[in-house]
Amino acid sequence: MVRILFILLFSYSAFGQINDFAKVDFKTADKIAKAQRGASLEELPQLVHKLTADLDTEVEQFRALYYWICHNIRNDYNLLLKNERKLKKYANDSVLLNDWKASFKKELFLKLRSKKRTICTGYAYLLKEMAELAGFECELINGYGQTKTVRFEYLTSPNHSWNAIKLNGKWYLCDPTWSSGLIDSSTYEFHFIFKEEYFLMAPNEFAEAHRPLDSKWTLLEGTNN
Amino acid sequence: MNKNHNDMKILKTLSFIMLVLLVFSSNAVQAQNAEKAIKGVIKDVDGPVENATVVLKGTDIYATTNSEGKFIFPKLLKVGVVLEVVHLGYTTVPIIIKQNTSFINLELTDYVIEIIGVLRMSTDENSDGCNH
Repeated sequence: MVRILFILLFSYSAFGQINDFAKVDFKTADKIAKAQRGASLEELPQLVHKLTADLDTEVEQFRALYYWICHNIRNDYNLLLKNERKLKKYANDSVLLNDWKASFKKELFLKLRSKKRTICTGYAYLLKEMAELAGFECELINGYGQTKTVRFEYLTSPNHSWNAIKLNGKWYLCDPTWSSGLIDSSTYEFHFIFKEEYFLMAPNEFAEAHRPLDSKWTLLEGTNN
Repeated sequence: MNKNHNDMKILKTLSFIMLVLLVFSSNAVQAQNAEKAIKGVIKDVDGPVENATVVLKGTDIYATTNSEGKFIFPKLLKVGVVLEVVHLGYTTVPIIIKQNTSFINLELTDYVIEIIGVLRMSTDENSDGCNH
C-alpha cells in the first residue's frame, strides 16, 4: 500500500509541469494551428496574430505557435551534415571557421524562410521569435542533447538547442525539434510525427536528455533559478 | 469715466490673450493628435531587404517592403505608437512614431545566434534531429 502511494506521489511530481495545465483542452489551439498549415514565414507577425488572436489563455496561444512549428517546419538532415563537415574541416583555421559560420547562418535563415527547413537551432530560434512577437518571454537554450547512442559523456561541445517559455509568470521547458518528428536513419528522410511529450515537459524528466550550458535553465530546484 | 475706459481696455486685452492662447493650445493638441503618413526603406549591410514586414505592434496592420526595400504604411499613425520591423534572421527593430517622423531609413542587423547542430556519431533507428 505504501509502495503504491509512493509511486503515485512520484509520478505526480514528475508530471508537475504539464499538470499545471491538466485541465486545458488544446483542441481549439491545435485546430487554429492546423488552419494555418502552409502559411508563409515571410509574413511572420501576421501569422503570429492569426495563430493567437482568437485564443484567451497564454498556454493556448503558445500551444498554437508550437503546434504550427512542429507541423510545418522540416528537419533538414543535409544542413546538419554540411555543418558537421565544415566545422570539422575548419576546426583549426579560425578565419575560415568564422567565414563558414557567417555564411552558414545566412544559408540557414534563407532555407528556413523560403523552404521551411532547418536544424534544431533554427526551430528554437523560430519559436522564440514567434513567441516574442506574441508578447511572451522566451529563451533559446543551447546545450547537450542525449539519446540511446549519443551519450552526455561522449559530447565535447554543445550539440542541441531548445526553448524555455514563461507562461503566467512561470518558466517551462520544451523542445520543438524533438516534438516535430523523426529522421529515418536509412533514407534520411524527415517524417512529421508530433511528439507531444516535449511540450512543457517536467524539468526532472527533461533533464534526462537535456543539459543546458547554463544550468539555471534546468529549472530544477537547487540550481540557481 | 477714465477708470471704465481702462477696465474695458484691460478686459479686451485679456480676452485677446485668452483667445490667442485658446487657438494656440488647440493647435498644439491637434498637432499632437495629427496622424502621420509613414513610409521608408529597409536595408541590411548588403543592400535593400525585400519582404521585411513593418507591423503596427500588437495588430495585424502591416506593410511589406518591395524589391527596393521600400514600403508605405497603409494606415495613418498617431504619435507615440510603435512599429516593429520584422524579418527572419534579423533582430526585430521597434520604432516609436515621433512628432517629426515621416520617413524611416533603417539598416537591419543580423540576429546574433550560434548555430548548434551536430550530427549524431553513430547510426541508430529513428534518429530525431539535431545531435542524432
